[in-house]
Amino acid sequence: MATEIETQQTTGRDESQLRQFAESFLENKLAVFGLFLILSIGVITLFAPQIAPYEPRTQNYDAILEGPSAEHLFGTDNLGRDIFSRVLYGYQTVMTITLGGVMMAFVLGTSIGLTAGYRGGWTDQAMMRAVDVLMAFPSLILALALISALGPSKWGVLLVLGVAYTPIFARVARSEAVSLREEQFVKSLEVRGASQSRIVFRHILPNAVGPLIVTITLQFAFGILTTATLSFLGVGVQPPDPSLGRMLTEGKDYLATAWWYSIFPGLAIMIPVIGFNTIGDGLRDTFDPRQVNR
Amino acid sequence: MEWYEYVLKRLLLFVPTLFGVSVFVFYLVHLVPGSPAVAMLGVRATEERVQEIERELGLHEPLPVQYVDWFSGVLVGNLGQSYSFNGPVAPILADRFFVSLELVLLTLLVSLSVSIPLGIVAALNKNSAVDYFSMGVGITGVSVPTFFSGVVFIAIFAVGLSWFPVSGYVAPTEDLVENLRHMVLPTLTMTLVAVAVAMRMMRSSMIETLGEEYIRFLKAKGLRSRSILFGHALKNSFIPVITVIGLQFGYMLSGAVVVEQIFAIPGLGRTVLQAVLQRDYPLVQGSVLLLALWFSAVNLGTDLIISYLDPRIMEEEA
Repeated sequence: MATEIETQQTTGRDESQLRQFAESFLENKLAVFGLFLILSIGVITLFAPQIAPYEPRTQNYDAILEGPSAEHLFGTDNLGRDIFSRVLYGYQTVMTITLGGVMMAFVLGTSIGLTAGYRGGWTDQAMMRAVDVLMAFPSLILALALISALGPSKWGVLLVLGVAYTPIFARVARSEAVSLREEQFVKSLEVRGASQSRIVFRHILPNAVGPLIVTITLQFAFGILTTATLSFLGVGVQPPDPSLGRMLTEGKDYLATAWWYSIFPGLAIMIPVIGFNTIGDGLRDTFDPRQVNR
Repeated sequence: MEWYEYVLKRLLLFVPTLFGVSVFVFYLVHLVPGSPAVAMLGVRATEERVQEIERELGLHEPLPVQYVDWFSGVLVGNLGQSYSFNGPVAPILADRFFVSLELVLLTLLVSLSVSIPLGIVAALNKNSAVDYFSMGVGITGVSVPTFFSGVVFIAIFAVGLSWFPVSGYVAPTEDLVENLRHMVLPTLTMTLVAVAVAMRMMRSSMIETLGEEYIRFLKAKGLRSRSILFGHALKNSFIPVITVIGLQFGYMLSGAVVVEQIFAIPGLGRTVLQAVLQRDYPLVQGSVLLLALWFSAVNLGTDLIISYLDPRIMEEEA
């Protein structure tokens, strides 16, 4: 669904369009709030070692299951470890995995989708049937199936996200390519003898960038949730890597006596997810004002 | 395109998808590094036992032969032997399917009866307090991890207030009241996400419908807004809701894994997880295959219903 602004130009946007875009995005207060959340989480993730008051793996048997205090902001766990510090390091783990997985899916899915959509015919049929097969599985079931083969690990989760989200990028990219292929500028490039890969990646891709960015943002939200879910279920990030999902598994046995053990990690997972979801919604409205709040 | 042609086309396209799904599920075992038999039995297994399992799984045959053997078994309902349950896979899955079905149907019932009215009211009062509230519910619903809301519900309603059991399952044939009592918290947990997805869709499709030419025409003609809403707009904005039911199925089957695990409900989702943790590959294959089949059948079904209600969709897809 390319807007007029996007189709007018083959590559790049001039400054006034960018400014217009930014202004329209900044009007959406919820999305700006989301952006703020994500930037904060980004800083926390990058500087976790500097911010964390304790070493996340250090056990302290004199401070077991202590409630939140000035010393231990989020309290301590059953081994006396500082939950706040563990949450900060947990962000590093989940963000690395999600970033890797979503980028892998973006590169794979976009290449497949653009090629299929631009070339059409048998290439399109074959590629999209393969995508259909992956789409036939509910995402978490696909993830579990792949993990059963690969074994539970951090890199396993990254790979699983990459595979599981590829079809979504492929579908979005394909529908953009199908509509752009008929545009005048593509036709004229073909006449001038531009190579296929040049047309697809230098000219069609930049024009499909809007919907793809929306997809990246929303898949980031899903990716964080899925990573945490797999770790919660015991098939994701393994000890000693700190993981927000696993902290909840461990903490849920202490619900009645030490609520902070599971509540803080749970809230911590929600923050970036809310951030990405609101940014995604905002971007979608900005890129395609006709589809309000879809 | 006539509707029956469309149905035929979709059914024909469904065949290669199912073939692909079966190949994927079959091939899973071969993705395992090393021998799946060793992975299942552990490194301390005797050489004899490993070979026995390898023979049972037919691992020494060429791949296409293995696939044909396996798939012809699947067609007659033979999904192999589960090692962790010590019995055939198919009957285990049959029992568990109905447990998950109850959970999914209850969730669908509750979530639609909340999300449809909320979505309509939000759409009719755009940018009002109700609308912001519904947007808040929407964003929260898709942002809270299912396992977190489940744990919080247990803390409040089971541990704190003792209104409902912490976990466990009672068959409805045994005691319907107890069955439902055990289902309340799991359903509530699943509903949170389901409501969010359905309500956002309902709201946006209602807003879109209300903005269409023919609705403005009806208004100009002087029709009362109530009859426009119930007589015209509602019917047309329900079509995306059917799409949502299909969409929700994916979320629900994924959510069922988590919810069934937290609440110790012996459904399909918990079975997949246990099979993965136990490296019980025949059970992984069987349950993944059944879940994929269930999910894609529901999606196909909803697509066919929608195309019947709104023939324009057939043209768009063609």
